[in-house]
Amino acid sequence: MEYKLIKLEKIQDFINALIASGKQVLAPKQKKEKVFFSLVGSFDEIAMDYIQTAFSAKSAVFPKCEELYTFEKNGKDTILHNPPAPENDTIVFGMRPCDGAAFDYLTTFFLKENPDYHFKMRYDKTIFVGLTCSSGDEFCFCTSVGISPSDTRGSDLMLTKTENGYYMEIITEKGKKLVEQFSNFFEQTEQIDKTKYTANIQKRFDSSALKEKISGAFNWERWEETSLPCFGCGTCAFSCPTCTCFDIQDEANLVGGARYRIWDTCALGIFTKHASGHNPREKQSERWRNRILHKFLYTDEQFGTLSCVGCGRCIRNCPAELSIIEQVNAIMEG
Amino acid sequence: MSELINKVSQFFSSGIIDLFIGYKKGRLGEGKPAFFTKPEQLNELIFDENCIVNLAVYLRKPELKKYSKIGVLANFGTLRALLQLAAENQIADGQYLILTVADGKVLEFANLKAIEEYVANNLPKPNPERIAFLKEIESKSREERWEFWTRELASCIRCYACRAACPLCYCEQCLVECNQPQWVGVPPTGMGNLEWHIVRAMHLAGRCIGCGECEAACPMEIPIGFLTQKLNMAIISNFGQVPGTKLEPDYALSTFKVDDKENFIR
Amino acid sequence: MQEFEPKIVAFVCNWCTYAGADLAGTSRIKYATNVRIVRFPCTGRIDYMLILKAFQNGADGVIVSGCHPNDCHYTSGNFHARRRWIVFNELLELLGFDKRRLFFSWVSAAEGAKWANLVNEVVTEVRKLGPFTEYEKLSKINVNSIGELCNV
Repeated sequence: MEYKLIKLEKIQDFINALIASGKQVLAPKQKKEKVFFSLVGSFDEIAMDYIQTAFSAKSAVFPKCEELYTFEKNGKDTILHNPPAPENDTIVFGMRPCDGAAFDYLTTFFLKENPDYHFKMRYDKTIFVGLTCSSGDEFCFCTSVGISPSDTRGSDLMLTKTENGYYMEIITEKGKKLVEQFSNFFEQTEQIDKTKYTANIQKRFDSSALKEKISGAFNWERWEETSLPCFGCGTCAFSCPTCTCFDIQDEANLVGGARYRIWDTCALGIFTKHASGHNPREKQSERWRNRILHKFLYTDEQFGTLSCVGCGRCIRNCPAELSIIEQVNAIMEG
Repeated sequence: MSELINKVSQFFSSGIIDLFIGYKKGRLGEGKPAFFTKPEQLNELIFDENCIVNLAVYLRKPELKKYSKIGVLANFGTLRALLQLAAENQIADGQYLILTVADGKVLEFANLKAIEEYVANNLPKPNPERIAFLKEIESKSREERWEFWTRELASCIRCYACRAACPLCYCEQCLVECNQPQWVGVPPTGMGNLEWHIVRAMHLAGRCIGCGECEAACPMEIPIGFLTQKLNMAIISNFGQVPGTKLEPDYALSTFKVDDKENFIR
Repeated sequence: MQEFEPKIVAFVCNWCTYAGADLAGTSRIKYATNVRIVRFPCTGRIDYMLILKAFQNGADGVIVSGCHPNDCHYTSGNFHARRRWIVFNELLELLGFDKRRLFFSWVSAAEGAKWANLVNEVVTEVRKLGPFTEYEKLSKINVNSIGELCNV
């Protein structure tokens, strides 16, 4: 692996040079109290001091609303068009290691068996620049699910803020190419120990102990009681870096239209509602159970990996502050 | 707080209630909704001005049907929501045990009529900051307003958290879930988003009790509360009805006056 | 270049305005052909969703018309409708929606000439405003765009 250093005063020029070269830069941006990933026009718009963005970086490759195809009527014929591929590279800047680890899961889900055309089209053109967490809060629990706050998984380049500037690890070929293209911003450096610059995230539960407990948890009698504060807004799933559920919707008129893929969530009753009117997950507690088991059991069975990366967004965004950490601990207690 | 806890635990021990919905301390010091089924759990019960979640939203949960009587610790928004729900025949008098804390004293409401009186005597003035913000939007040109809302509503992800958090959005099937015909586009495009928020505001016009839960629940920080607030202000100034203050049905849009203004009609 | 011909949708009540439009026809009054009339039992039935649906599908202007106050076939349908329009107008005003494209009117069964005049006025006004691209553009916002905040 190669290591570089960007001087603190150079980072601004680096980002602005990226933007000037025509690349789209998706970076954390302050809205009111929350920080969101957003396309930025200059370095000044980027919020550099944040613990966690309100929403994850998954929207870079899995947008909230994307065209699967468009169609138009031409006499008796219907002509289909693929959506346009992104022209320029996208740089996701300042992604937290938990989001990076989430891409491990997302690529398994979208690309492993039947590669998803739309996901791949965006993923191939996206370069992920991770940023080591220097602080965490009481909702962070990445270490509990086997991820460290300086994890390089899923990132192409990984930055760590040190007193000399941003220490950069070049992880993939994609990242290397970008560094070569903008080589005048970087200096050569030696490998350092990142521990000093990394947040200390407390372990809030033991995932291997949970593994044993959760396989029999479907019929656990406390699901209803523990999920009572949930009123089914679905914010947890929308902001989750590993939630991949989507809905497919057509918008059409007499001359043509488009088929869209949009985010969906198991927290809504309509998610499982059948055309007959029957709903196999009738109560919110059943939907909540599905979410927890999906994160900690179902994907483990299917892909051999948990689909919770401990980013804590679902707790921060929950209007009723329902906590996945407390939930997991309650399951452990039995 | 001990007076409140004592009182609630008495209700439990005398068998008056078997579930109490209140608040406990959240991680950042704010009150988060909590459900108590045993008096032993009550040491966590709190109530202060940081307990803002409107608990009336929970009363429609089917999970609560198995409890014979439910106690609710109501903040002012919850009280108004309960009144409005009663006016819309969604809850009955005596169905719930309703408590609030005012000036450090626990108040138990004998019936909904008592809530009506309490609300009438304590109706707060609108928050001046919000009025100022609304004035600021209204002072802009039409194009600027359109631009402002287009931008704000574009970030809507259509999670419908605003609907889920609203104590008065209790329809079994929402208009946006209706697809024959599909009134509002489901994809979160600018058009679908605008139309959804128009629908939401119109369906709450004259019913919104202004608790601000929709805006608090919005993960995208969209100031959607201003839409319903503006409509309520218009209804108060045009027709004089204040939602969530009367036990009798008094819905501005189901009545009329012969001399309602019609300067916009050709 | 061909002059822009606005598409106007008119939601009218069965008892007054529809009959008024009919009278305009039987009286052989000529008026602009840009209008598509949709008949409803009463203005009370004309939901604001119908107005939005018309704009959604590319209408450049919408007319809503029914019986004069106190003339409603169902006694009070138009009074209820009027209240709803007052509230709806307030919302559109706040949103900055181009209200110059939305017209409300009372046209009785005897006012064939008023109907013809109304349509002509509306068509002239909307023609001046041009196509309603502002609303049409909304349908493309967010499509394929990455990140959470608006990139418009």
